[in-house]
Amino acid sequence: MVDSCFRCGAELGAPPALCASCGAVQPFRADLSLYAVAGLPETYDLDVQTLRTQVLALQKGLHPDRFANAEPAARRYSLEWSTRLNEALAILRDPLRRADYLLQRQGVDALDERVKVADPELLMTQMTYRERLEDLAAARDLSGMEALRQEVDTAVTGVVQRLRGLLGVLPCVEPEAAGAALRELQFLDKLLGEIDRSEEHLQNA
Amino acid sequence: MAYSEKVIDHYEHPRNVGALDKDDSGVGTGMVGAPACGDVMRLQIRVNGQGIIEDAKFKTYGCGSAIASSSLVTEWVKGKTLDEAMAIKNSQIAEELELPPVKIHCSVLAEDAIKAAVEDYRKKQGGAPVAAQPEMAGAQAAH
Ligand code: FES
Ligand SMILES: [Zn+2]
Repeated sequence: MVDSCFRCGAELGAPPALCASCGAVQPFRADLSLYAVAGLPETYDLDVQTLRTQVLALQKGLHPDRFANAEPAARRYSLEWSTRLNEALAILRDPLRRADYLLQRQGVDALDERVKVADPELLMTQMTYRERLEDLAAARDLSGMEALRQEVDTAVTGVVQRLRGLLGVLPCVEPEAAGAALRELQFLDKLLGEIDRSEEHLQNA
Repeated sequence: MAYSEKVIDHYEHPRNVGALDKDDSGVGTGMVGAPACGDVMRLQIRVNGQGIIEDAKFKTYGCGSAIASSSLVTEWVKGKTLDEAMAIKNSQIAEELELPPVKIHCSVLAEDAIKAAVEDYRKKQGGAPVAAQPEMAGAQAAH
């Protein structure tokens, strides 16, 4: 399906936000996925640098300042497009949120608060990580924290690798396994945040 | 997010923080995690020969509501039977601590943790899991 400019009828590119012929900003399309808004194919394995370059270029063309003197509708469209582009960058650049987004698109909410985590090994590992961090913080051991961070980073890389495999073909045919991997990533992500906080706390003390 | 005074009290003076020996046959350990936020909780009970919970400890890496919920549950379960402990509902915890709706999953964590601890204890005792008793009114007045 090819979209055409609402004003001049010329064919629109991807995303169908600005007309290359007449320059008109097009009515916002709430039905488009974050990928489509960024003009990228829907894949988990995406290059964050490409995403950023692409979104920044689009942001430039659609920046509300450029339409400050335009008709109210065009002003509104440009604001809607650029708000959505911000969202696309924030979500798609993050391996955790990107996986969550793709799974949600196929109706799987793996991080829903009603989901029970039934993997005792995972819980044990996470509990042990947190206890180690607590002990390191109490001992004011910054280099120990760095070592822990590297260990957790390696674990994150492993899980993202698994997600790449599971989400390599979409829609994912093993949503259970992908959901479990996503939850593991969520725990690791929280842990990394806690390591940051503890380090900052030590450095500022 | 404004916490109720009760949450702040438990947060600042958590009761029963710590660990029991998880390899002890009289100890049940429950470990749970919240996928919504990535937080984790461990709750343990020590059960005496009469099947009464005589000690409880917890360790929670999570928000104030989760810490308060687990702290409260360790207080509640002491002196209770296993079935009474199993009957504790997150809604009772949320009500007691006046948790706002967005923080409900944090009290659910504490409910799941005590259930997991009881189940772990029962499994260790080797017996077939005791059939779940009908909800006991006793648990309501539990503090
Ligand atoms: S926000 Fe994570 S347990 Fe409350
Ligand atoms: Zn046009």
